[in-house]
Amino acid sequence: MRRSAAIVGIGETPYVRRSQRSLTALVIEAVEKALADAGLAGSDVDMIITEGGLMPTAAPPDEVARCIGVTRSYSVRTAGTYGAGIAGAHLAAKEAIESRSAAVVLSYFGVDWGSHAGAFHGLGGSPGSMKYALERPTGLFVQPVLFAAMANRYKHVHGVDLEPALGRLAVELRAHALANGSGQLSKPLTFDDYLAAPFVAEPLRVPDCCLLTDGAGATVTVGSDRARDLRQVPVDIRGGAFSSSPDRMSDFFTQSRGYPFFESARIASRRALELSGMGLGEMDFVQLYDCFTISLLLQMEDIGLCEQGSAVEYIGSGDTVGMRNSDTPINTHGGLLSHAYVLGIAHVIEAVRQLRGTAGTGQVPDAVTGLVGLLTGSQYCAIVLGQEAS
Amino acid sequence: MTNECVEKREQLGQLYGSVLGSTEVDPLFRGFFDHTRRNELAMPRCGRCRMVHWYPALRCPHCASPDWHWSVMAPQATVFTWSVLRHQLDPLLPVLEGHIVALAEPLEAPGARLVGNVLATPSDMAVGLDVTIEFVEAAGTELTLPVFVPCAGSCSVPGQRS
Repeated sequence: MRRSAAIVGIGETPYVRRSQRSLTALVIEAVEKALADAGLAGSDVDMIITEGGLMPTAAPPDEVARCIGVTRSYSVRTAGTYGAGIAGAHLAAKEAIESRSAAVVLSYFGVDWGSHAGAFHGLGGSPGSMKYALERPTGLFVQPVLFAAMANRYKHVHGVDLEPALGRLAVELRAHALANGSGQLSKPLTFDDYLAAPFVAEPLRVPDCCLLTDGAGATVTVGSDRARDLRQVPVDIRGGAFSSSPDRMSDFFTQSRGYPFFESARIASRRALELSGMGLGEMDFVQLYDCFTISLLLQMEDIGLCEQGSAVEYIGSGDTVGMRNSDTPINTHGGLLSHAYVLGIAHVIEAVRQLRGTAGTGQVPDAVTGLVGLLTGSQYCAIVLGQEAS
Repeated sequence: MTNECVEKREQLGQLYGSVLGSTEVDPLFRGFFDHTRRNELAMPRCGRCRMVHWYPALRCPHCASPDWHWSVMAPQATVFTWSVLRHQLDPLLPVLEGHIVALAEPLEAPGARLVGNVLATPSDMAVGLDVTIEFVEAAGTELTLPVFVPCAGSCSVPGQRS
């Protein structure tokens, strides 16, 4: 019988704007909590799989292993970059467990972009590249401006006004974050507050943009046979898929062939569901990469929650988004927009909590399966998580 | 050209200069700036499949040939999308009044999207707007950048259209 993989441990630091701590210290705290949650020790870990863009230098696996008491030979993998790399690490963990390449896989991700704001701009590109020599002086360089341009293109292609839908998403996700309670913000957001907020780059306002956060999260994945003997309700990684469109990452936000859509989100999410033997309609929730309200709206179409061009209608139709009694609640913890900008590790952890039934006042009743879809420009990785099949 | 337009171009030139400083352009992209200095827009055209690609790459993304050259394009384009900067995010780039940035598709390079500021007012902006590509020198540098001027507007420089 094929062995399946289950997440048995989760851990997070508090999410704050400025932690006064090093990124490695944040990561180690999250890792220790995840191991404790699973009832395992560092000495049980035989593989570390982490995001491949930032972690190898910012919080290297060897440093982490040294601090948590890994005592034997272990192996290291990375899987994609940024958000897609976080979901990708869990897909790779599943593959490593199923192929018996590993028994206990540790994954982690953290950022200190709350303390070091201002470093943030489009992905890739060397200092002598067009990104710096041509895009930067014009202003079409930092992420909010790149996504604002995508929003204007969407408005044109579909002939719609985005303001009500983007505002609605911002308001809903804030309500989710406040129900969750572990995020960075404590102030509610009304639609009037949204309209009164200053523009960052038209048509995006401050609440259309993600937070800036210091924080880290970690997970522990083992084989389902072993998971049964551990202390937590195991959450199976049912399936997953990674897709990258053939666009150079540094060019993606100006030249992508699917602009403004995320071709890889469409492909990876469908493939992940197919490999899990499930349909999107069977998902009790989805956690998507909401770096901006517009990127969330686009992914809602890309993964197939609604038809291309119909997200404004879908979002505006009343109880479809946000309400926990709707068919497919989105970003139940408040996401990158209102919970914390940790690029998706909190999306994975929230999905595990929902499936354990420990999401508190944010709990989706009877949640059995959910999808996590994380984006990095041309890359996308979707994973389907579910309660252990009985 | 009105005084306002002269001032706007001047302002952008100063801004470009302060952002770019002593930026050393990668050899792969240098041909672009060799042409902009002569007030020309050039893009890579493949010697094998004849297709234009953008941005420049070591191999033609259509047929993987290394044999491409810089090909001069007519300075006409259509706005593909745009935004107005309202809040300073890049520490090097202060936000100006009516600071518009656009991607524009050159008439002779469909599918390529050239980035540039637009010498217009935000209320003029729309996807599909026809623009002329003109050029502004980044003050104190060797680099010249394209800017977009609406064809119906009053900011174009006489004699600059090729």
